[in-house]
Amino acid sequence: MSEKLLMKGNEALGEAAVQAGCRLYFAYPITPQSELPEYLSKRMPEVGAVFLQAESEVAAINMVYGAAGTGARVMTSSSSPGISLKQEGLSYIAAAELPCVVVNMSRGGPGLGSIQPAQGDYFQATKGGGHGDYHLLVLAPASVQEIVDLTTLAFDLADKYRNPVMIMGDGLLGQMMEPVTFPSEGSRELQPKPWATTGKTKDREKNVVHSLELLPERLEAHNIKLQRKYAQMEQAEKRWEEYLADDAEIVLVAYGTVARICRSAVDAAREKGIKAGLFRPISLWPYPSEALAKLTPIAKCFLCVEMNTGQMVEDVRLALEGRRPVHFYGRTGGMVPAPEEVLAQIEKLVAGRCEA
Amino acid sequence: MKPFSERVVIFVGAYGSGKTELALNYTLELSKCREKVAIVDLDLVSPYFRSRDIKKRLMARGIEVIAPETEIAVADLPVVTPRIQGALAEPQLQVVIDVGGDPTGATALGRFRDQLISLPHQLLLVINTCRPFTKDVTGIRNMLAAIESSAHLTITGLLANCNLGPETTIEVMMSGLDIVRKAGQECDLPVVGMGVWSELAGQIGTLPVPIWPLDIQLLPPWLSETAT
Amino acid sequence: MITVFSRPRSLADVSTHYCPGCTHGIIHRLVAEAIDDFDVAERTIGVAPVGCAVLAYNYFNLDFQEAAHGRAPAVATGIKRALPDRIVFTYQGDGDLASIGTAEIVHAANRGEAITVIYVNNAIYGMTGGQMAPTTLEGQKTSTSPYGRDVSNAGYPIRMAELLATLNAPRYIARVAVNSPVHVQQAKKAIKRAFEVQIKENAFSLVEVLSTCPTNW
Repeated sequence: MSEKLLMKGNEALGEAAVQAGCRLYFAYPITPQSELPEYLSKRMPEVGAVFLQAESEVAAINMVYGAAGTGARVMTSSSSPGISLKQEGLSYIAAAELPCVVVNMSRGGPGLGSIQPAQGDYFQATKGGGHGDYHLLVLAPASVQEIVDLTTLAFDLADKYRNPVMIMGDGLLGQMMEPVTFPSEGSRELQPKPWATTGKTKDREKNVVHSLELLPERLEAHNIKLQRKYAQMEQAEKRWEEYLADDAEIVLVAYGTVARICRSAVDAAREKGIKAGLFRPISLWPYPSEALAKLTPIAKCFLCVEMNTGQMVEDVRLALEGRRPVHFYGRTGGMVPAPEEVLAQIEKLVAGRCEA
Repeated sequence: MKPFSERVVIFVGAYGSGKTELALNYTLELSKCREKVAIVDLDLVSPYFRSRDIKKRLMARGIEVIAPETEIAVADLPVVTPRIQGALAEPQLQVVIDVGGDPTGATALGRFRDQLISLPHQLLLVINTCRPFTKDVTGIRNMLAAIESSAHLTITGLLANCNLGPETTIEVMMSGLDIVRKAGQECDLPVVGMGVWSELAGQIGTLPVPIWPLDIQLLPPWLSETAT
Repeated sequence: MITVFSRPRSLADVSTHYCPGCTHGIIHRLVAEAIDDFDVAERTIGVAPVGCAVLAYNYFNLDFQEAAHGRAPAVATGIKRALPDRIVFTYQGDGDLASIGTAEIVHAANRGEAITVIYVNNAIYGMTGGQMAPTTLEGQKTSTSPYGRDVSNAGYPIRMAELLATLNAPRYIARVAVNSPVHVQQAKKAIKRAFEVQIKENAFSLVEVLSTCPTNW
């Protein structure tokens, strides 16, 4: 399918998954991402794939575990409270090194919160979420086309590293409509998965998908192996985009929906003669710290803007290691900052000479 | 766009076909020539980009906005307000109904069937041929049949709204309109108009159907001129 | 010489960790015999629980997945939906199935997932040291019901086989015991029938096997 279509983020994600070879989807309904299961409930049967509405988020992520263990491409999706329920399963999936894609179209929290867009799940996504030492690869699209591109990438990365990949959107990205095209079909050849549990044939040893390691020496060795894998991801999978950042004296750092707002704010600031720029992490884990730090010779200060009370700002501070002041502006609970609000923050910082 | 003579005009269609934008633009236009105008936000399926989001702007134009009040307006609850029945019963009131997308969204309209069949009304199917499930005549016919079945009402006309958002071209609109007109012929339904962005309305020339110039009312926050 | 008794091919040639007198060994063997009888080992995938049978994957000569506590029916659903022509079974205890995993078992059964569930009920949490289970009998003393299970506080022992039998989709639900040769023979028949239901009728089956905990009782 190379024609251009106007699609909602949630639908585009579903179509991209189908075209990336996702053959099983398990999920439980929750606003604001229900268009995704609704879309896939129509689309998956058309390609002979499995759509199953699970009895709970907990069951859905464990169905993903089972299907991923057979080597199939599989996905689940939810929004914040539902993602919390999936954390047990994510820890097991990461431990058992199973590839899968998990979508979070996040909403206002904590608790039941609201159904409006938010970014309060950054810590949960990037710092673990479930128990134990593990990482998800976390990709944060900022447009409907990027949702398509990153969904395709997510399935490839999941297989490459045998690791769960999270697509971190927010309610607004899921609901908004933009024109999209899809990569041409039939071009992807999946690598064989000799570790999958498909039935032990005589020509191989039995395959066991598990996370239990009773001997501390063996569990430590497994953890070291996982960490080595995460180190490879940190080498190869950092992604980001810069906008007018080269000569920027004040660099905004934002991802997803907020990055779109900040881009408008940067344009408005440039019109007023302020040298503002934008750094947009696309991979939230691994975090593109080095690329961000490279902006320090020119940038006088950084302004991290989030739809939460300050989560990614910690990674910005870690990346810059105190070399420049890092400021924060956030709205929360489902409130979305307007470009003018961000512009006002930029102007305030410029007036105060960007100092802490 | 010329206001319909019918007092009740209802917009249905697939998800994301542009029902809300067309309904809002129609309502705003109507408010210029009619004294009492109400818009019913009957979208119980989408959480964002709904008529109720610009309630203040509409009220400033003297338009009554019929939607769940207070915090229920932004709740994850598909609530139908009792005022809708009352509004339909008021002979002086022009009522525009913005229904939720797909057959799922049209289900909520079904409960008003008995009241609506006794009232002169337009039930317009909004079609964007750039949307995945209404790309061609077959898709449009399937959507029409499914929506009629959920709403228990008969579509009276098609309303083209062929666009690719910011990437809309004259060509996109014209080829889309052709498909909608074909669907209209096959279903024996008039194409009552074509939504066209105001900026493009001047360039498109004359069309075989009336042009509905549109000013986009619900923009994502990075395109909004004023914070709400 | 004619061999009249040997280890089933689907059972691995290793010693288990089960305590003397525990019936897991017998039940493992019955499951392996059923798989051998139908000659489906090469297309069978087992799902191990959290409980005393957590290491079941070491004792079978089969591909296996280990599930989180109670989630085996969801994991089995994922496997079966991905590979509908494979034989999938879960092996779960009463804490796993009848307590923390009630939602998963009820809904897998209700969907009629074509899986076989071996549900080993010994009325206690054996793995964690003999705590009260949902199946613990009225008045039974455990490490968390030291005065005996008080039904006014802890409720009554839950009857999963009966509960699940009220659903439309399950094709075969049985309760058996393995405390005597006759009962073992009956259990063998039931387990074989349960696999047959999956293989020939593509339907859900469950066998509850009453078991013991010689260490914690």
